[in-house]
Amino acid sequence: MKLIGAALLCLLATFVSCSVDAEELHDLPAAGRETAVLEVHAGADFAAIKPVLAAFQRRYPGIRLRYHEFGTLELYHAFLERYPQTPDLVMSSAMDLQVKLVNDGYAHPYRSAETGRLPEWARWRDEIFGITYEPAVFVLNTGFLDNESVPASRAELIDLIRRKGDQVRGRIGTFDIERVGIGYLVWSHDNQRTASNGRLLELFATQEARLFTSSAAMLRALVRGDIVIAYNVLGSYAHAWAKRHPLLTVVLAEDYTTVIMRTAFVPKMARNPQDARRFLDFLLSDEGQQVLADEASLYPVRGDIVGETGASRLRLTFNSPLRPIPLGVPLLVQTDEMKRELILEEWRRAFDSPDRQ
Amino acid sequence: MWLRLRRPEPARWSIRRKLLLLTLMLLGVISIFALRAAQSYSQRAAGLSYDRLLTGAALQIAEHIGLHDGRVVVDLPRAAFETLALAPEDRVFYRVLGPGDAHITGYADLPLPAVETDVRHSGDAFRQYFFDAAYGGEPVRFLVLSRLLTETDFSGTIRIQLGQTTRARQALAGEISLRAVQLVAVLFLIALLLVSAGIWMTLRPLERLNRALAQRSPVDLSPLDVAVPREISRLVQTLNHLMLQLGGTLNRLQRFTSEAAHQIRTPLAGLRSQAQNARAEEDETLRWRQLGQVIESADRLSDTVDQLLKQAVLTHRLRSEQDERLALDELVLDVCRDLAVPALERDVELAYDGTAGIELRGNRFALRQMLQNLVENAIRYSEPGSDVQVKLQRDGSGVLLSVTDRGPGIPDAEKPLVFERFYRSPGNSRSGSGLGLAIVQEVAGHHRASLRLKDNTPQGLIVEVHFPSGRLS
Repeated sequence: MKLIGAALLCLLATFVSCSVDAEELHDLPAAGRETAVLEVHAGADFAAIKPVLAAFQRRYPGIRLRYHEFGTLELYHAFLERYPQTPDLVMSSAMDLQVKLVNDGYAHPYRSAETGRLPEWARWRDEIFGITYEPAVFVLNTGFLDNESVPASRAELIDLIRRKGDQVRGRIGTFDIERVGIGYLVWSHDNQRTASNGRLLELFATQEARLFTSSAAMLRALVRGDIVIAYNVLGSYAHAWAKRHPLLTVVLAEDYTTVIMRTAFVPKMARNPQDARRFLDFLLSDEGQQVLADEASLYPVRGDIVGETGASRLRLTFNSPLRPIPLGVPLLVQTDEMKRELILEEWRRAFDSPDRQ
Repeated sequence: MWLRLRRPEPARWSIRRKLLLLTLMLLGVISIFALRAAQSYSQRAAGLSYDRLLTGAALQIAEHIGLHDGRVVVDLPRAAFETLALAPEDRVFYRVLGPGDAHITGYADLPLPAVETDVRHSGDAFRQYFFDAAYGGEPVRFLVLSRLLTETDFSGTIRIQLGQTTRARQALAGEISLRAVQLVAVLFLIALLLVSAGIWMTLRPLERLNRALAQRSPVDLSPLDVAVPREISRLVQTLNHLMLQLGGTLNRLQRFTSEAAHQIRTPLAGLRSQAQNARAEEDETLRWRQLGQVIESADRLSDTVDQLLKQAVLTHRLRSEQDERLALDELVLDVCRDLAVPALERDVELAYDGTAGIELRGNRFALRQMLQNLVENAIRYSEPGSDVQVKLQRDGSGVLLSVTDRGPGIPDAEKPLVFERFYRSPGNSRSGSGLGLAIVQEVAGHHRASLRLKDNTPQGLIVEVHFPSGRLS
């Protein structure tokens, strides 16, 4: 009952477009006799990750999971506000903020056979670990294409938008980077790496792009035809929706695809670090990664897991250079107050007339 | 038996072990110094390379500081942090302070030292210094880079503080140290091996010598023929010399013993038959005379034994005693004085004609023996009423001692023989052991003096002993 209620609430929340601003608790009782409680703070969509949590509880029936769901920015601020009271595990796709917390010494190091199997770029200092692999893709509602071919790269996308002109005005969607952590992460990262971002921003502004606060909201608008292009959506969600809605086409650009990771760390002040590590190991284990790939519709980070989704599947399916954002100190740049201010200022300046949903 | 070699005590220490020990100690000390040096060097090298990363990153940040509407704006460059990420496991802390230490961006609570030390200037615009401090529960290396920002409407110092934890530099230092340790260990082993081999090779001749000596039969006194290095060839020479002498001594002793036995056995047999005859003689007067002969024979035998002992003692003293410095003229005079009375008893005049102040190095006992024998001989063979002259004088570089008598002399044919032990001239009826001149020759030989027998005119013998200049002092 409670789960359904929560799901409903979430749905409702997305409808009123405030997304998951506030904390939301999903209390999953132990499958057997309760012996321990594991507090997880996560920026991940509960519905998406639920199968993994269930698998974990099947494996460790004595553990009760208290899964607190946040928006990625809120998660970060909540962590600092409540310190030294911390959860047992912090999981979020806002890699910059996660790295900032680790850099500031909030994480406890952990090394195991499972963490050792991660590629270099998916772990840092043995304190923070990548769990899922999330390419930032763009999705089109092919209904508006009129027999035109699907753009395969950013350059082609830009061409398409220019050609379509008024047809796509107000019908391009992307993240509101001021309010969505991963939106800011991907945008600021691309900003530092490529020049095409500037042209895209200019185009978004002139085409009066609509800004969304979650992938789900954006995809919903796309399905309804409110928008025809969704830029920088998380690939796992996009593929899940595209499976249900044949009009949606997911594109991993030929020029490059930025990949972010959902990362997790065990805080130093965790009250139950033992089970937190168990959970971490489970998430990284063959079993956990396989569940992510097959049931959770999240992409497992480990390349050797071949499921329906996942890094290896992406590489097999798409001809796109996948560029994971590596974990490490360069991510601190994005968390710098002044840098953030500069990026947001540029963004705001472009969208001079605020037109946000 | 004085010949038996004393068994050597078990050696307390060996040269090999001592050399190895010394080498080990030396190598150990060198290694410790090398390791110390390597350690401090590795710390410095690692520190230097990672300090450069900090400097590079700070300079990159400094380039991205500008003014915007009179406000200092820092556009943090990703490249700066990618530079720092070359130490992939290290945390990074930074901040930028404006004029008057106003916080602009970054970590607000980083430590700053009260005193700036070791400040370096690079160009006109920058000055920088490093310091170490703990932050965030870890040791951190900090750099403070100051830049003077001057624009038309702004002038002030901007300070960039950049800190990095020290994992990577520790790891690098550890790695360099490890390499150094490995290198030192390898060198240590090689050196030890070489030195061991060197010691073994150096000591091998000694080993060979030992073996040669051990395998030698105890009666083999021939010289050793072992190839040895210069340092121990002296030892081998000494050994060979010793053995040569030992061999000579043994030979002499053997000869002496057999001769002595012969010399004693013959008179003893005579004595025995004389005593037997006396026992069988019934005539009182004859027996009396025969007993007188027994006594005379016993006296002569006793004389012989006396001489034998004397020579044994003499030989021993010559070998065992150090030569001393003595006044030869006084010694000669002394002997003449002692023998003057026995000479007069035989109605022989003893005359001494010598130069005073002749000193030489020699054995006083032996020389006295020699002089006594010479003069006694001369007296013994002199006719009553004749004289014996003893002369001592410098002769060119040496000293010449001559004893002249007017006795029967020695035929030329016998002259080379008289110095042999127990030689008695066939026509000689005088009592004597036959050892006197043998002793003279031995003593003269010891003093490197040459002996010469000359005829006196019209008759008699001149014995000349010539001491070479080397003996004089």
